[in-house]
Amino acid sequence: MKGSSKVTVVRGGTIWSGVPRQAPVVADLVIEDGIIAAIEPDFTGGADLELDATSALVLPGLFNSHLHPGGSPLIRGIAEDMELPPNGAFFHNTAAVLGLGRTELSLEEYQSLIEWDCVAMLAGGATTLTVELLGVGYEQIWIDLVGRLGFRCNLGLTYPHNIIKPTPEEAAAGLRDGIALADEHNGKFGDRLRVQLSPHGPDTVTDEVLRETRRTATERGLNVHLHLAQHMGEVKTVQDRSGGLGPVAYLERMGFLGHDVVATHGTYIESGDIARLASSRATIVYCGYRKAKEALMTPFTEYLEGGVNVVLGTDTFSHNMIEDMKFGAILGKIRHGRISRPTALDMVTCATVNAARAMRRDDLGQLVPGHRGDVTIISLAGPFNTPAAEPIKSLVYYSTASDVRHTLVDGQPVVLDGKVCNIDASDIQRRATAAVTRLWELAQDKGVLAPTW
Amino acid sequence: MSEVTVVRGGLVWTGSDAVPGDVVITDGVITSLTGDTPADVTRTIDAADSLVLPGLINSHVHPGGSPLLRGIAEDNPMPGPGALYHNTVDFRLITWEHLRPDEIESLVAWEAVQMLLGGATTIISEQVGDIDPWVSVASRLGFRTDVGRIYPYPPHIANGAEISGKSYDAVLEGMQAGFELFERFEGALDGRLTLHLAPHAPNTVPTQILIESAELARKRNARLHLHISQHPSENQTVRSRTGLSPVRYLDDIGFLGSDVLATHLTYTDARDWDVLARTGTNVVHCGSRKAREAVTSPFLELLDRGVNVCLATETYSHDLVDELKWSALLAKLRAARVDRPDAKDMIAAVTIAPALALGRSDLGVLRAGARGDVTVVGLDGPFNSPAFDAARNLVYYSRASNVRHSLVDGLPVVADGEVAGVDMAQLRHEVRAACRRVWQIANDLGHVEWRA
Repeated sequence: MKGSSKVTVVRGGTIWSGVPRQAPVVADLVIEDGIIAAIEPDFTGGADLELDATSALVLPGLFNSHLHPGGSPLIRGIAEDMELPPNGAFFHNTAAVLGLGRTELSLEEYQSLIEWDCVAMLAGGATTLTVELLGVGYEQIWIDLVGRLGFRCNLGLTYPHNIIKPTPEEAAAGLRDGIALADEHNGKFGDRLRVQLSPHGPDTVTDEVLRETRRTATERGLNVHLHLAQHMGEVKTVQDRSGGLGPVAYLERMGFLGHDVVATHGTYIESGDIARLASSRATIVYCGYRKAKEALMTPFTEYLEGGVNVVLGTDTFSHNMIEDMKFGAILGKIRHGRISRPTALDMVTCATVNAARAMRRDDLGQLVPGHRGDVTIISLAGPFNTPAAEPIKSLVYYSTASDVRHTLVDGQPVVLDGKVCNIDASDIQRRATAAVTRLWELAQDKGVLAPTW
Repeated sequence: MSEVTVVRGGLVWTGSDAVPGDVVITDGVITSLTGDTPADVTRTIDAADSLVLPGLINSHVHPGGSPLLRGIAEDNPMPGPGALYHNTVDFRLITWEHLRPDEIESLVAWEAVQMLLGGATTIISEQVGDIDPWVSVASRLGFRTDVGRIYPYPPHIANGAEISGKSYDAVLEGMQAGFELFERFEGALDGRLTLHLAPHAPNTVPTQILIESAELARKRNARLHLHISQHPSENQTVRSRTGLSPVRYLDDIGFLGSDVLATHLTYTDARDWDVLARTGTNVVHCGSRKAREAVTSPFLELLDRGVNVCLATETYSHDLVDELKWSALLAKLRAARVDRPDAKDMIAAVTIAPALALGRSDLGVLRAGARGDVTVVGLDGPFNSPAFDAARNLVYYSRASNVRHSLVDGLPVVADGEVAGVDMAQLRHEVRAACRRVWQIANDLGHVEWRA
């Protein structure tokens, strides 16, 4: 190693590289100046940082591919057990509380919610977070977090801001804000931050703004991230607008779909949609666990077997990526009454290799020399997952966030010994709890939140 | 002098609500919930930012299997109309044939550790093989357990159209061995150990032995615990013998009743559910366990008929707090409704419902006079705080890593997230060695293909 380079060694773990058909091997992983330099037994060179990975699984850093920071601490436990509004989604029951959070909380208070949510995302094992920021004026808070905490991020500002009562003007203005964000921040922090365009969905964004989004993304080489076929209300709106087309067919006709499009949910699809998505090389974000809260299952094995690139996201609620893989796999099995698919390997592939493909990155998603040093290290030494006859199955079916030992981005620690680095989590928790408690009291006073007893 | 434990500063679950309070336990029994603390307190348990629950009850487990079987059967095709465990039953047999008693006790202890970290204070065990290792572990770790020895084991020695000759005798011997345990362990572990009879299932135990089992258990006021409608081949066997579904057959022979705990009921219909309701039979639901077979079992259908439904982890992941979430979401998916079952339904299924099934009015509730069995779950982690509704944050956002303390008869079983009295590193070492030995033997015998 060069004398001036910075070296991180992950020692003695079971390395799953993400290379197809390559079995896990016990070895040392060497990262030099942010890039994987070697995977070899018994590395003898010096290192600036040595991480113990004995009895642990070493994975390409996990991608959480659909998130709305700030929401989860505010609305956890509110919409559960409530009846869904007709044709609506789970979030419709929490929209009033979320809206109040944006209008009534100070910027400092809202910052504490975003930071506390971010702690859960990183403790949940992800190294790359794909974020659709809802609301106006929070982007600098998030960008500062990317800089300070060291994770990798794809950031988009969702437009229109008001997705309950969308207006064409707001959608158009939101697109302009998204372009400005890209101009200013794309590639920041040694390229850890990338900016994408984030139209909310085909029902809330006008035809014209969707077309403009498509043109801009192509010109500037940006990814597009949107919600698609999320709830029946969306499907009906698009059908009315398009003369009967479903959301996927509508976007296809517009020429919107492509390998730079990442679409979340894909729950309410019709015959031919899977082929449309596969041939366009668009990506679907599967939020199986999140949709289960609406008492429904979203297609997953269908996409995998139909040749669609599928990735995983936790959306607004529990940001535990390992739990998300477990729920995703088992819900997929139940949907088809078939135990043999999806497999644990499918889940880990979606969370790594497929997610890198969605970002059009050939330097992420696998642990091979030349790739970026983004790594998630999961202990397989706990009472619930030891001994591990099959490490990947023990990861997916028997591990959870509390087994996340370390994570690295560009070879630098983001989580060490289960603790998120560079943040005072107990201080954030105290401030977030105070802010949320104040808002819940206010929401009850205003009659938009009913006490549960 | 009295031994006094105070669980201080938490939100106390009343069965329908979470209210601030302190739980005072004097000589193993709850004496106050109102904060009247005696002058001399032996120990204080900090429950700030936590939900204080009646000690959770895990209503159906088979200790010894999980460490060996995890990750083996998942993702593989199912064995025809059988159950997931049919893929792994050889490992159990090898365990009992080849492992030393101390190795078996290590496996059983490792599994008990999971169950305790998963929040349970009472464990209803359907023991596969000798119960002594389990009793020894219960004695050392201080939890409460209701144990039965399954007969026959392995279950497939007595399956098929008719059970006769040697296989009949084997089942009968199993019942007698199970019944002899009542005498041997009468009053053991200061009342923390109770016994039940555990005929395996209606397809593997002949009618006459089921009837005798019920008579023996009822004479002793003990429970009967069995599997019902666990897999399609069980239903096929019972139907070919009797022309009835397993539930209606068991009703027909007078087996069902409020002293019966029946596990799974996966392949059942509305007529069966009505029978369960009419007979007062208790049902043990294992949501995440059956989901591993890509199926769901009835839950809300039973609750709505007034059946007493309990939750259990069975063989695999013994995180009972996580199981609340699994079983709730799977039941919502099955019913395609978001509002039921709700968080209170789920908490009842690990507290008051199994206490009722066991005939124990002194368990499953926090009230003066009840046993001092308590589970304290922290609602202060990044995934479950802050909590607008403590019950929902417990059910939908918590897991074993949030279990902070548990007490049985006022004595600590889990303290600060660690099982009291266990050297985890040493135990882990022993369990790994024992599992490797079983896997290697299975490999050598050609039962499984296992990469060492």
